[in-house]
Amino acid sequence: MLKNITIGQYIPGDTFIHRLDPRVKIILSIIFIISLFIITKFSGYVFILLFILGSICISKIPLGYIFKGLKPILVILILTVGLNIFFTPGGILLASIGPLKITSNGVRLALFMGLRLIFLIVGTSLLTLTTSPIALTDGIESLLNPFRRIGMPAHELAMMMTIALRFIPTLLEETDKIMKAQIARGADFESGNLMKRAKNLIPLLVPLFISAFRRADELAVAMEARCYRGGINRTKLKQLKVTTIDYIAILVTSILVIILIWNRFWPW
Amino acid sequence: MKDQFILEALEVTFEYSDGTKALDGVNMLIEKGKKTAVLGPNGAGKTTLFLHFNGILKPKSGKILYNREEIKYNRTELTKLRKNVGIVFQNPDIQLFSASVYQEISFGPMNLDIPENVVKEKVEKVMKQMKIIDVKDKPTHFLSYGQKKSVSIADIIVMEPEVIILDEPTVYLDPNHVQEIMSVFDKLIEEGKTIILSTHDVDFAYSWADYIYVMKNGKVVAKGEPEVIFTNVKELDWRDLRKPMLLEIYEILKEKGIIDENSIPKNIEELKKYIK
Repeated sequence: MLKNITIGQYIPGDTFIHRLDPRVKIILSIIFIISLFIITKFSGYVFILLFILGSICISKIPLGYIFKGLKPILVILILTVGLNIFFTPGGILLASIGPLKITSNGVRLALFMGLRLIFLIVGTSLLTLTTSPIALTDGIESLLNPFRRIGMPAHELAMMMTIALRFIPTLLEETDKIMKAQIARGADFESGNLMKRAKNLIPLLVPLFISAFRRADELAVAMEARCYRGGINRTKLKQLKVTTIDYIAILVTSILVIILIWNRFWPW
Repeated sequence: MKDQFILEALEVTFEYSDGTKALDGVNMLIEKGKKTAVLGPNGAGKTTLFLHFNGILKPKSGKILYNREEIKYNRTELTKLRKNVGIVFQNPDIQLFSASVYQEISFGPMNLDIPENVVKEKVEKVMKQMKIIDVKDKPTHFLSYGQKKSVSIADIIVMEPEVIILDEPTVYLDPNHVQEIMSVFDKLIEEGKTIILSTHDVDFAYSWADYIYVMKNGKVVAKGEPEVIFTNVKELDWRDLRKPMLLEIYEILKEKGIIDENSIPKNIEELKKYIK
């Protein structure tokens, strides 16, 4: 029942987007996010849409996965759109329900924010969908490397992320097992009001935490037993390399950013 | 005579959501008041089948019968079933959670809405039976593995189920603990309870069980009384299942003419008697 959770789900592939250097992909994603906030007009979104659709097509990620990524933010999306639609003053009054007024400015802003949020999620989920967790942490580690001089533990952070990602499925499996063991003893996880349900979770959470801590302890010992000692002088199995395709991706994204900046001066 | 079967799995098939076929047309009849052992390599489907007996998993096809009646998958019926069919899981750590052993053992009966004073009595009795009364107020995670195992078994016994299912109860335990647990099982059998357990220990299964099922790849590949299963069943794959040591020795002794007894010994004492 917990198997459907998809956090940072990676879909393997060998497309242009998959082969990009993770560092380049991370930076381009950040640039993409920033460029979303450059936009001031709806016409700007046309270019974003083209860019995103193009990337999805090239990466051959099924559209279903993209929509699945949107599901968790549905509540935030509805809240954003709802608040903006009702509480933006100005423009022509379109309708009013009691004290709530819908104005043309409100509708415009709500749509604008909604689109921005959707593109934000789709863009970033494209990163995790096309980059394996290992490549992603490798990329983050190497991007953080320059900050090591000011005391940033880049390798340690990356190692922590790798381990955390690796243990998500293990913990889910463990949760499933514990649930079964407690259900067998008549525990009830499905009925009752919120308070009762929260209380009923104790038999699930306590063994889960204990086992997680013990696992962490054992893992640390096992790593030390194999002489692990952090990032000093470690070599990499897979060297990251920036190649032609990365330059192409950088070029395309740069063009997008330039168009979007130019778009700010358009009359519409 | 059919009403002597307390649990029945009929043509049970089960598939996990990732598509692995865990059970493939399993037929298993559990006789009331008997000791049944289920043998089989890892991944044979033993645990999955046990979870069916308790109604935690629902078969994809086929049915599970308790006391000749098909299990109904609604809340009240399931609670009743789980009171009557208790499962002790392999790893005690996944079920222990309370601040004290007493609280831990009372969790099950409290879920069954039994009045507190009755629960108290029952818990005390079970703690004595399992010899964990000395650690009554100790936090469960400070116990040794053997004690944890005892607590996890007490957790189930206290609910007074008709059938007790144990998933590899002897694994990791020292011989002393195994002995203790076995004597508790014997007492439960005397009280008319039914015990099912899975194990990899063929020596133990051979001398303990009344009836043995062997599973492999989600199927029952052999069944029968221990003596029969280990001597007569030809199609068993002995890479998965070693012959019990006792039986091997008996066969060697017989071949060399040291003993001429024809009945197969069930334990070491019987074998000793044969050797003059």
